[in-house]
Amino acid sequence: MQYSRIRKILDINQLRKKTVTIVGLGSLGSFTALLLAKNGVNLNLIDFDKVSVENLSSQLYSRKDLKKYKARALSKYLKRINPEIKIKSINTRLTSSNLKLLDSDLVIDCTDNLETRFLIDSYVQKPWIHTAAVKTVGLVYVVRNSLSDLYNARVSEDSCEQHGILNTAANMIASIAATQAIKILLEKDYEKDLIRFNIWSNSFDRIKVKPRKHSKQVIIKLCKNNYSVNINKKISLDSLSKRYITILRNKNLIIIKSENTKIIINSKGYIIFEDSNKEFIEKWLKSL
Amino acid sequence: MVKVFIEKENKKLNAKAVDIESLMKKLSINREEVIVVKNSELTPRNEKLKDTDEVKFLSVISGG
Repeated sequence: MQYSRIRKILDINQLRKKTVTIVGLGSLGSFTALLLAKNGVNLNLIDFDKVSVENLSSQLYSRKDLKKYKARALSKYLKRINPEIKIKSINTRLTSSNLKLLDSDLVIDCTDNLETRFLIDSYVQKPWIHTAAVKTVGLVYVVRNSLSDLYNARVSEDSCEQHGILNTAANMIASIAATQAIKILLEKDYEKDLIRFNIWSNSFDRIKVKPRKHSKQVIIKLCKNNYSVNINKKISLDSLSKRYITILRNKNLIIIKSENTKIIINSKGYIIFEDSNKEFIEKWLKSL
Repeated sequence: MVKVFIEKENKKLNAKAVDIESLMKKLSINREEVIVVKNSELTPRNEKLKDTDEVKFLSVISGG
């Protein structure tokens, strides 16, 4: 009965078999989770943060959730909305040590920093959804190749500081993201371009993003002392595991330690350096 | 003349430039704060420009 009116639009039986992992449960994450939960999608909810009073205007939480983990508070709320779905609440930060948490039918990035986004990019081997928003603007993009097609030059992140998001913008972007998610889960044709919307000016951009062949390696500074580089060629993970202390290894990814730097390497040529500096990175890349 | 939109300043203008890089220099646009879109396509900064092109400098956003 719960789904009787949307059954004509969506294959609910199919959706109910699917699980989506949402990383980051702020404005975008909490509303995206709500929309998917109402459509019968099972959820893994990841966020290390607790609800604070300044979250209340743009995120789904209420006053009685204050000081509670966002993942737990949201899970409780969504279970009341739809008791049929399975929800796993994960009160932790996504790091290079727990990327297995992303194993599911689809990952939606609703985080607020490039560092976590690049971690998702290095681990997930199928299309995933990147979202971002600030003030009245937001974007949704299904990453099919690599996030470095989008952030291919050095960028300064607005989110290293705290910026607000108008809740109407968050809702709009969450709606686009959830619709893209449903299309992917149901194996329907989804929007391949980057969608960018400013709810204040009602300006809408559909932007084509092509896989890049970079003429030179660009070292992108993320928050803190973390960096990302796309070297645009396949890397033999076997040879790295012989040369360095291996922290984690799977088919497409290896995490190693070199001096004090943790290095996350995707076999496609995508590398993240944690707690590092440019001199070390340039030297290390030469030795590759 | 290339049609330009700078999102941060909500400014539309026409400008002459041979490529994106020189256009950014001319308009004093901080390269770390924008993504560059030419004729609705994400564009590398060494891309040449034609008079009929439309270029948008959109702010990098990463909140959530």
